[in-house]
Amino acid sequence: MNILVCVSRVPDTATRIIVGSDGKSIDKNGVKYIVNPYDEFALEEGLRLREKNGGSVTAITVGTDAATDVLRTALAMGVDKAILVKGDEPTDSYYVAYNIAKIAKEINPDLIILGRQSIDFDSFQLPSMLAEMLGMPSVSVVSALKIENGQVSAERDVEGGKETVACSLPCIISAQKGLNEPRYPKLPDIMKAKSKPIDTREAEKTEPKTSIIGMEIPSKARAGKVLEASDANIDEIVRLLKEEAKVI
Amino acid sequence: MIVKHNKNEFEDYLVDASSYEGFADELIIPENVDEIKQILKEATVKSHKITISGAGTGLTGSRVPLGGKILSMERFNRILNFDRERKTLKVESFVRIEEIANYLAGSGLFYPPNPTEKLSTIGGNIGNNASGARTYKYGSTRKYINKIDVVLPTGESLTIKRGEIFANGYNFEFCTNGGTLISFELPKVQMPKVKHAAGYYIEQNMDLIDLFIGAEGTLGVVTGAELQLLDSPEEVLGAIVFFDSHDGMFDFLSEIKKTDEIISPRLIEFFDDNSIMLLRGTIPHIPKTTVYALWIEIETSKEKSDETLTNLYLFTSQFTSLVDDTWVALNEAEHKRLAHFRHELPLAVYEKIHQYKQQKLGTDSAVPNEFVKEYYEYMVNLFKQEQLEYVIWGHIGNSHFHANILTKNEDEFRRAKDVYVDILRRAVSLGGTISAEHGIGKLKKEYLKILYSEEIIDGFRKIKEAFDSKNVLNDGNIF
Ligand SMILES: Cc1cc2nc3c(=O)[nH]c(=O)nc-3n(C[C@H](O)[C@H](O)[C@H](O)COP(=O)(O)OP(=O)(O)OC[C@H]3O[C@@H](n4cnc5c(N)ncnc54)[C@H](O)[C@@H]3O)c2cc1C
Ligand SMILES: Cc1cc2nc3c(=O)[nH]c(=O)nc-3n(C[C@H](O)[C@H](O)[C@H](O)COP(=O)(O)OP(=O)(O)OC[C@H]3O[C@@H](n4cnc5c(N)ncnc54)[C@H](O)[C@@H]3O)c2cc1C
Repeated sequence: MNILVCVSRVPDTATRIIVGSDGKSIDKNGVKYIVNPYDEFALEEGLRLREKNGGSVTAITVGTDAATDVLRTALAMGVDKAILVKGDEPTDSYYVAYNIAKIAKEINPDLIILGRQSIDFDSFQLPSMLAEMLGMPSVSVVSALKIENGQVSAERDVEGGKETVACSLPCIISAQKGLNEPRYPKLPDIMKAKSKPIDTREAEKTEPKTSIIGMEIPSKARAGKVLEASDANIDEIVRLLKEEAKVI
Repeated sequence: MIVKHNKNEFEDYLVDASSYEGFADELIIPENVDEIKQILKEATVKSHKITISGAGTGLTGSRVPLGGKILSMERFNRILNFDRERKTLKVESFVRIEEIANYLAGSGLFYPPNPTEKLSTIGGNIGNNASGARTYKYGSTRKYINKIDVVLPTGESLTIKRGEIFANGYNFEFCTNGGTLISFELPKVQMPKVKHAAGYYIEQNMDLIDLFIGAEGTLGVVTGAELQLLDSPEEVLGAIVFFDSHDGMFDFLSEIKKTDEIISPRLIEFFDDNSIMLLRGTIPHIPKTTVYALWIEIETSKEKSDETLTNLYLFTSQFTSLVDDTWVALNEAEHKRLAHFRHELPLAVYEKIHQYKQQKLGTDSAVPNEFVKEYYEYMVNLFKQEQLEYVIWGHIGNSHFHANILTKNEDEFRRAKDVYVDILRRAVSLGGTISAEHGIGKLKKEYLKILYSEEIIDGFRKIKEAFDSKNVLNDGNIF
């Protein structure tokens, strides 16, 4: 089974995000990057399927040279090949999907696994865009996956319960927390990963489908208002809830 | 100021993480320093007890009140000033360790002490001179406290800046901010030369600030502190190294302390075979033949990172055939996953204790490095002889273990207590301490007598009297 896993490079969850001076990008000073946490589940699932069924796992990322580090992590976890589609910093999901689809057409994977969302911009766009471009079935937010004789059975979290979806290969899966417990990269594998080749391709520019107009940090939660005993007037509380808090 | 008289409203404040339970008449939540001064002044005049409460994560009952009023510092929760040039951070006393770490993330600076319990506060950390895994390289809380603002039991303020007020030999004489003279003599104590948090810190010609750090709130209320920060290392390499033999682990430990800069770790944490067994429940992937594991962190740079990896590999391969299974973390997210390994353990142990419905018995002793293996073997032999269930983990870099004894009934508990005392005695006879980081509080008072003579403990009482003649503040701690 040939598996393609899409990995995204995102700011570390502990990073304090500051909006850049242009008002529509992140100030990159001091920001540390990691593999998108949901993509770790995607990678782990790919590796487990390979261990069970044979075949190979390829990790792909669309980004600048800096994105090689997430591919090194994927290699250290044990993927066979890594592809960097090198181009401008991605800001438009369509551009990323287009470039991944292009490579997918070339290598014909039986299965493409993504994270359910990238934790930086949370657009949830890629899995469905790719599915559309490649004409494949797609199951998103999957928390348990079974593949037997080319038949896929995927469990998804839905409001208040679980849903099980069936489709056939090739298909696209997006990974949810709980799908597996990702392995820890091991020392010798990290060392080996450092010298493994990375297949670098030029990204094709696309007409942006979306563009960023502005970015701002959410304002801090509004300060609470403490009512003194003398304020404990029910009409006043109702008025405040209605007019100031606008919750009733 | 908020005052609560109804017990239902302050039940949570009557215990700490040791689950030792006390009682109190009311809970006071002051909102500024003047209110604290007023509260203490009145307490001294009327001779009623005040017990200072931090986050309540202590393990010795030190914030648990035995009557009187609870003084909760929870409103003193602001970060006041970050001075990048001087590398200092001024905070109020209820700021939590986790908040400091988050605040400094990405600033290029960090606050080195990192107790495992991230919800603990600076006030509590000062209270018992808390340590953390990084204490192996950086030392305990003490080293990073530049200045403290204190309200004394009389209601007077005292600002202590490191480097300003020293003892003359074993005699202190200084004035409060308001000009009241305080003088007293220190007992001539030789403290154990290990990581240590039992009883007052005493040294010839010592700095007054060091007396307050580790005083378990018995001398004054700390309202704010200035913390010393350090430059963050460029890169940190974390690893969990698995060992398939007892000797392999101890040889690794003694040899790694002798290696050059490149693999000199900043922390070395230990997990015994029983810890590993417990962890298998929540963390799969642990290699099957694992006997022990160590979690280490090495500070390195972008440039040297590859070399550090190679050196660690070559070094480790001499001591364990599981070297190829070593787990590595190179970024924050991966470090968090390794830390998870450490955090899961106390939780798993608490769960068992809960299930057995018995009190927890956990050691906090440390010994000089040359005795670490001997001491560990001594503990394990005792547990096996007495057929007690146990889990040992801890800050092995500082030769400091937390041996937790899990008892299933009263009889086992009694036997465990005898074993516990033997273990503390052994630590003291090897030149170590009965408490390296949790302090004495109310639960370990009888054990302080293993370490210090009655005469020395009397000397501690005299210090307390010089600040608190009516014995109103944090009564029941240490003595
Ligand atoms: C306003 C804005 C500004 C942005 N600025 C930057 C920036 O400066 N630098 C930057 O790197 N990104 C930036 N991005 C993020 C980038 O555009 C998205 O991460 C990327 O387009 C993926 O699309 P998505 O958010 O729809 O992914 P999602 O659909 O939320 O992601 C789902 C999955 O798709 C896969 N995936 C996502 N991105 C990639 C990728 N690049 N390569 C391979 N697989 C991937 C992963 O498996 C991921 O789990 C920006 C996005 C926006 C909206
Ligand atoms: C899971 C777990 C892991 C832990 N790991 C560690 C560890 O690695 N290292 C370690 O050292 N400890 C550890 N501890 C113990 C505990 O976290 C520390 O003792 C911590 O310093 C307590 O802080 P606190 O804010 O909870 O203080 P509390 O428990 O509320 O109080 C501790 C003492 O400090 C006094 N105090 C609190 N605030 C002030 C103040 N403003 N002025 C004067 N005195 C004050 C209290 O009166 C009391 O005597 C751990 C505890 C748990 C539950």
